[in-house]
Amino acid sequence: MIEEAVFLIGSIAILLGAVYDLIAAIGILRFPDFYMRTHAATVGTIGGAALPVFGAGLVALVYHPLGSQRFFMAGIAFTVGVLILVIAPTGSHSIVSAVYFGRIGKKPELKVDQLEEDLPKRSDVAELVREHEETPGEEEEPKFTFRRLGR
Amino acid sequence: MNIVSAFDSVLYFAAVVYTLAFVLYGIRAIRGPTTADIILAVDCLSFDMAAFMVILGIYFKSIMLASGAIILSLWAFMLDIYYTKYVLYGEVEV
Repeated sequence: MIEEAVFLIGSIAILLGAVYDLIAAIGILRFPDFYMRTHAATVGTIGGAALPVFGAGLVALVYHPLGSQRFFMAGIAFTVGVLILVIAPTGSHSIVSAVYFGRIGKKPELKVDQLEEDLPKRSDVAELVREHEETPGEEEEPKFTFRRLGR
Repeated sequence: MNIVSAFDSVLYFAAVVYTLAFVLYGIRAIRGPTTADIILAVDCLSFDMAAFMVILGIYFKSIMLASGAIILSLWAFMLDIYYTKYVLYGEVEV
């Protein structure tokens, strides 16, 4: 009885996750700009990957053809689920910040952009490049050359 | 309710839907206008592949297939972080 209930919950999670995944794939194909595609992608990673993995862990607990391996399988599934829960939002956030601050692609029309003053200005970047530029003549002499060996 | 045959029908539906989703992600990964779109699509593809590998591991009764999912999800995270460091700092320090 309890095994069938656990199996039912797990398989509902797997089916729901598959549907989430299809919706996220349609969204990532159809949305017009990168930030909206990121929204669809995060739906696809949490709803479409973490949820079915937890469901698969529940199914593996009561799937008897696996023998005693089923507890290993459930452990692996819950580990992968927790990993995805921690990792996927972090990765999406870092990609979006790289696209915004690295100015990749075209920025969509925004009404309010509070982060705009944090963007590096062109003069700041030029100053940074000038600081790190190596002036000719000040180059360090290499400590080991083949010519010195020859003498 | 026979659990084994019920799981077979669940897997049948999930495999069809997941394959359709993989194809759609692949289209975006191929024709994405910027590199960030490609990275995002490959990222989703990796996480979903990890989830699907766990489900397939139950069906094929193999632990080895399922333990590859841990590596796959960590690899997707590595891809994100390396792309961010390459774009913002110009170099990838390991």
